[in-house]
Amino acid sequence: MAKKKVVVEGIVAKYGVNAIKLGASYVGKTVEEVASLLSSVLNLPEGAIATVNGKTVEDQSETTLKKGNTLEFVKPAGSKG
Amino acid sequence: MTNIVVIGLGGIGGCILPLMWKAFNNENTHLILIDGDSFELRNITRQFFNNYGPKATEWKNFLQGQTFNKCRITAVNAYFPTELYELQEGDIVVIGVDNHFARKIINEKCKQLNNVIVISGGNELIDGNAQFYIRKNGELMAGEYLDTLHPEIGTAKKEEKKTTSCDRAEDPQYLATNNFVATIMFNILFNILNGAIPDYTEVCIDILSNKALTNAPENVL
Repeated sequence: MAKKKVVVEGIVAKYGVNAIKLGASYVGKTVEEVASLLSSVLNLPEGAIATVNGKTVEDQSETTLKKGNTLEFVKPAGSKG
Repeated sequence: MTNIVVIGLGGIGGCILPLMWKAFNNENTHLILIDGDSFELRNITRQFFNNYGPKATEWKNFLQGQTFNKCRITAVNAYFPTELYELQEGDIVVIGVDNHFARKIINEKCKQLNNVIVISGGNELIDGNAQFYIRKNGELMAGEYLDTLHPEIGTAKKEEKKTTSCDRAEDPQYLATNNFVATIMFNILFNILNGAIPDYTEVCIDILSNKALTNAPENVL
């Protein structure tokens, strides 16, 4: 079955099970800036690891986001079982 | 013979094990069940058992007692790592342990194997995650090592085992969360063994919103 395509003018941001589509105004912002803007919306913990299109971001203050990027803030792994 | 090694037979392991048995119940499967714990009354609301015995032996007895059981089952009543079972080339390793240090140890052992499939899950009270990786011919073929996205696993330190119900009272869990994580783990393995290698490396779940979300990049036109 073909995957549903998502038209994104800006950026998709994820944290845990939550994903939000961000408008084009977020294009060009750094990961650090977006993390700050979304911290309360996504309940991001301070210092969360971020990935862009699955690749870990080494320097969040230097990495800028492009149209169509998927930005994920990694939620700590569940420890129990 | 395919070895399916289930490490940790608590909430998650106990939910995924019947699925694994049902899916792989044939003469070519060797189910190896590893856990050093015994069932306790406090487990009764979210784990399946009839006796207070060692989890690995109790599960082995239960599965072998099924009329249609065909697979070989070995119980290892010990915590991993144990001299009673060394992970082997070609193993399918299913991790349902209850702490990051154990995940770290298993992850490191599996990285040393040339061919292995690893599926791992963990949860907190209402949310959790499942990860996987496949090593083939000594290379990482798909997924990510457990500590790549989660340094908290790679840096985990050994903690004293909590032994009393009072010690563990602050760590409640829900069957719903255990089961959600186990189902996602089973789905990942099902897809891998049917040739549909996931394009994600992790799935997060949450029982309140009843959502699961992969970390695959979105398709963008």
